[in-house]
Amino acid sequence: MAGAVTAVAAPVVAAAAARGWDAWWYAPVAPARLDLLRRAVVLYAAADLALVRAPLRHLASDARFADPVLLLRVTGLPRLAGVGLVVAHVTTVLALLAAGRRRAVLAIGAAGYLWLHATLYSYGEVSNSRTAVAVALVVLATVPSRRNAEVAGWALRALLVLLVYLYVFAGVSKLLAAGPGWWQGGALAWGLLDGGMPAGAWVLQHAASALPVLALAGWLLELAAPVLLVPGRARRAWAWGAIGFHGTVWVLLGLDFVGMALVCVATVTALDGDRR
Amino acid sequence: MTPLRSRHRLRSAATLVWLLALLVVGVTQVRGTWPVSRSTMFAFDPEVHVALVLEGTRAGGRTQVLPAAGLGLTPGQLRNWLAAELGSQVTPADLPVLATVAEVWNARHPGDAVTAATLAQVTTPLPPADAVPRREELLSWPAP
Repeated sequence: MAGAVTAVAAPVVAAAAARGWDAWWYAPVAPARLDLLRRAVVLYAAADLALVRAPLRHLASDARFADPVLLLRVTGLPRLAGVGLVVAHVTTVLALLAAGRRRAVLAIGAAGYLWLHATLYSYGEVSNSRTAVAVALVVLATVPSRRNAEVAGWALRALLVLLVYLYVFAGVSKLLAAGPGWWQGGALAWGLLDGGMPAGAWVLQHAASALPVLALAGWLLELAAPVLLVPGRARRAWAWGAIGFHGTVWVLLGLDFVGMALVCVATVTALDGDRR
Repeated sequence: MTPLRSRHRLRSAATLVWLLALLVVGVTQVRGTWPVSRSTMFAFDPEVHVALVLEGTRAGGRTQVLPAAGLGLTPGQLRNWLAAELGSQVTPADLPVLATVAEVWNARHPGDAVTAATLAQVTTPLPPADAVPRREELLSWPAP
């Protein structure tokens, strides 16, 4: 009896799940909405590569400091160095700036961005912020047509899901590592000391009693990230709040997550562009 | 409702695999590998801040900190490299690490070469408002 019920119910459930999946992931979004995201992400990626990340600082870095990441080992691509690094860096920045709506050119920029960051990460310091930018570039380069509104919707939602993952599990990992009292512990003080920023040193010296409140506020923001999955004012407020959060983190801790916040705001703005 | 088309099916399958990979890495806290890596920030509850400091001594006796930039690295990259090379406890078996640091520094700064290198640990209790950092020398190259 149970088997018969299952045999009847399973296809119905599967069909409903597939419809629900399509309804969320492929709800049409005007491909023109991607233009805002594309311009913001591409400009940031190019400026960040040229001015902040500066992969050319590894032009003469010793190979003994590098351990190639899995992406390089699986693809067989070499860790960029010397002339290859210069060529890849210049080509990537120029491709990003020149891409416009030309997906082939953007694909070159995205591939270069991935390769350059795989090289940088081989030196042992991964930036989740640039992960969001890298995924955004790949997603934007693979949306097949300005007329394909369903895939445009998928592209934007894929970015949202990645952002929710990065924020939520940043919060969950604190809970797993230190329990619900994490915000009262020494992690933020550790970060301020480690960052070596003048503003962080000032806080440690003159406002240490505020650390638990700051830690709790940031933690709650991370755990509230699933609001990004629900259209409306709340997610727009969260996205803009993330800009303020990461600006504060940069000033106090010297940690640059501006790219991640930018992708978040641009994605939400593109998705909610018709809701005013 | 638009029916699921073959192109969406492939994209959806890839999306599902990606989501599952993220979930596994996120829940298990397995390190993963870029771009499916775990997301952890300050996921610890420390009582002290420990910083490793590399110092180099020139032929004239002048001793100074060897900054990460002088080795072609960011502070985070140097810290992670030292953590990977040294393990949980520093022992004389780790002397080759300092030898490598000295060799790389001298190759990049032939006019400011070091003849000896020291790895020290600076420990600061948290919160550090009134705490006095404690410096402890861990390893010295060449070996005495």
